[in-house]
Amino acid sequence: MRLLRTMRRGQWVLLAVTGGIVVLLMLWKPYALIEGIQRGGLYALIALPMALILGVVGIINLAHGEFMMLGAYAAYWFRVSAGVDPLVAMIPALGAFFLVGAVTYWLTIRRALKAPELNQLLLTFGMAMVGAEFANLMWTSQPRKPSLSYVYSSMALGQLRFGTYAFIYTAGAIVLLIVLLAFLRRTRLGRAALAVGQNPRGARLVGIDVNRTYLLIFGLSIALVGAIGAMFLTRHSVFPSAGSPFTMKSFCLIAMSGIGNLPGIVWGGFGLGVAEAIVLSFRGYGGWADVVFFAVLVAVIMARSYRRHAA
Amino acid sequence: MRIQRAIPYVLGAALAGVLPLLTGAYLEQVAGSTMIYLTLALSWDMLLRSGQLGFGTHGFFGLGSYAAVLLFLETDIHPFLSIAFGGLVAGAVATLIGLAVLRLRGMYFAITTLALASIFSVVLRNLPQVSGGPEGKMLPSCIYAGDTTKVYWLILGLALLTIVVSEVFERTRIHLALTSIRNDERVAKTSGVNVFWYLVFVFAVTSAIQGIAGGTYAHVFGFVSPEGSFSANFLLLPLAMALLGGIHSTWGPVLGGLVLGALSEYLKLQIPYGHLLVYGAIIVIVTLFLPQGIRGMLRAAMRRVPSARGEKP
Amino acid sequence: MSVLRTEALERHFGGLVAVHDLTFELTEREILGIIGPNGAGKTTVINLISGLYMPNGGRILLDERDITYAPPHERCRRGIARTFQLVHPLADLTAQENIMVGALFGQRQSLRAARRTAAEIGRLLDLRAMNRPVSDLTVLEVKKLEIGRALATRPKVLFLDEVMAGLNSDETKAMLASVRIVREQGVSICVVEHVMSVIRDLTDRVIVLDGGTLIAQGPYCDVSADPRVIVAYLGEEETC
Repeated sequence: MRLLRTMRRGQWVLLAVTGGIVVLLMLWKPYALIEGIQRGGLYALIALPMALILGVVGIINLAHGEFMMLGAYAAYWFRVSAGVDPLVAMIPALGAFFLVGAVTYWLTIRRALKAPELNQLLLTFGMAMVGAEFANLMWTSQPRKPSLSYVYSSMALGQLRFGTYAFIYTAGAIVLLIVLLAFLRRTRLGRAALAVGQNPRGARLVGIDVNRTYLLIFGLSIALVGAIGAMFLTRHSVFPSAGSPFTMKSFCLIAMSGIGNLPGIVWGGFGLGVAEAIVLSFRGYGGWADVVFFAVLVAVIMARSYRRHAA
Repeated sequence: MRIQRAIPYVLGAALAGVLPLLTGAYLEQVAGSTMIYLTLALSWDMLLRSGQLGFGTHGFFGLGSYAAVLLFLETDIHPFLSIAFGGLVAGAVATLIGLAVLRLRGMYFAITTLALASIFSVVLRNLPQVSGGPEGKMLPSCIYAGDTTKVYWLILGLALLTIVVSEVFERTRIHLALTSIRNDERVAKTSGVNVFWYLVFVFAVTSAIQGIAGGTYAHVFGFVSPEGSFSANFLLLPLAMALLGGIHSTWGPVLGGLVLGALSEYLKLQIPYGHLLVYGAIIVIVTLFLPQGIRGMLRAAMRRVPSARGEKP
Repeated sequence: MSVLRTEALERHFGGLVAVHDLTFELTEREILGIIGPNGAGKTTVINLISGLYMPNGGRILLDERDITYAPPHERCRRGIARTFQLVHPLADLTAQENIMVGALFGQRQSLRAARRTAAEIGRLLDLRAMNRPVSDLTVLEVKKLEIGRALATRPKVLFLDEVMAGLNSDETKAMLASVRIVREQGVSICVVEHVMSVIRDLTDRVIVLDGGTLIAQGPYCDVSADPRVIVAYLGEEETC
């Protein structure tokens, strides 16, 4: 009971500190704040399906970013061959990547579920390489990007003038979070998935088809990340190694928030995005932004091992 | 008895040393690059024997390359010393990282190491005064002025040295420490094994070997760059080699290295873009269907022949 | 003369109290039983003393030296050894190598000395087929192997976590003989056991845990008549 109260107090403190930082940033580096929230939205958006796979199927999918990259290529191909807008292409991408995910699950992941964790990591790492090199073979390493006029929309707030389109990622992350939470709490499959994630054996005992749940959740997550790839393409170029940094950042966010904490991923994503944007805003030091997530990852691991040690 | 047992190894090494003399410069180069990858494969496997999956071979390889080249350009010392320095830097950095993250293992360690190559290359790219930035640095001349036979012997020496270190790992108390940690960490701990210390030690040693391999490579080709020195080739190929040959042993990665080293040249000619696809596929297929690799298959076949039972596992 | 002593040992997991205010001691060459219903905290006590868990309070003293927060390998070298409830032989090693691990790292012997130690222990515990992989061993052999590996660290105190579980009556007899042999080596032994006949035959003294607290101690016959102990066990089938 006492523990509970201190937790709650801790949360209030956290909220107050976050609010304080946001206000300070608004005064000091408003552009970094805006840019960071946009970036962070994209990170969170991509990390959410990965967290879903880890939470339910129990597998770290190191090929996650590569599925996103392939989704972006698929949208690019749609754009070039049929003139379809990438945002519209998200809908067919959902279906196509559900199939891709389900087939991948059936051929590979299913066989490695009982294998040691290291084998699972090796397997998905190998899949990541196959995905990246497949893209390399098909489309070469040249970056590709459709030209879309609407992504340059901007607005002015007082003296601030900034691009508004990238808020689509922020909005997307929040919407996806709400949808996923509702899915896990309200729907039959979602509840089954939660049960399977917590205790596969127990779930099997109460009559849940565990293998089918794994298949559907894996397929669903890949479908989401494929569609997110199409969304990614509207603002960013796609190339074979475009996906892998997102795998790392997604894992960083999951490690930060703890497995099973979906809202934490969104908050963590904003935090990471803002931190990167601040580093980027220093002229001449922008290149160091890529180090931010690694520093965060190592710090998280050290904090966790310390806590475990102390416990 | 001891001398007799050493004969096949000495013969093998002698054969490896003499073979390229009978062939042309092209095959010497192929054999040389095979040996570099083989060294990386073996060092990766040595870490895996402790139950830790490292994805940082290309990171430490590139770090060693840079350290060797930069020291050589600054001080003009003997290339061998600069290569050793590359190993030292890689080992020292691995020690620091290991101390920080090796208390949490499994996926945390694996993914931290997977990030290393890109982190190192970002750092070097952003220190242009030191590292030459995105262009990297050139050496005024390659080691041995590009004499392919001497270069081959140098790399062969490195590979043989790594094989010796790997055998030391297999035949001393280190073998029992690492295997017990891999099999059951709680048993290892409560039997007196200092698990954390051993893991940091193995991570440092294997990373140093990767750094030395990188330093050697840089001296052979005469340049370093963020893209070239940290290329995913130096991760993907060694992994595929060790897995295909058979993990947790010296001879598995060596076998896989020789097989894939020969194959890789052929593939490079056949599919210049995306030949790495094959290695990714090998990793996936071997992990799923042949977890003990070729060596495991051979051993299973041997076991069926009763006369071969005396063979040391 | 106490070899091992705990003072007010405390451990909780979140809000759940696993061990509370536990004070007990183990004297030289004694065989002490730890009994109690399921979830009484018996295995937690072993985990605390062998160093796999750190206590939230209290002290652990080995030969009057404080080892409360020492890492597990350190405790092993100072003389605390244990077996595991679910046996964990090191699967990629032979039986002999399994025992050698204890001698190499627990006693810091050389490879050659460790090999000799392993052979001696193999003879002592009547373990045959020392060169076979552990997957070939029977349940009894695997359990003996666990004891052998623990013994190879030359412990002062040995914790046996349900070594009799899963053995038939003949095997149990063989195991009892092995445990007595270990005691003759001058080791103090602490057994956690569900099989009450084993506790009765083997132990000099028992302590009874319930809900993480010590509720009774003394010779088995006295303790088993204690009304508090009977209440704690009520409904449990293992009651004598």
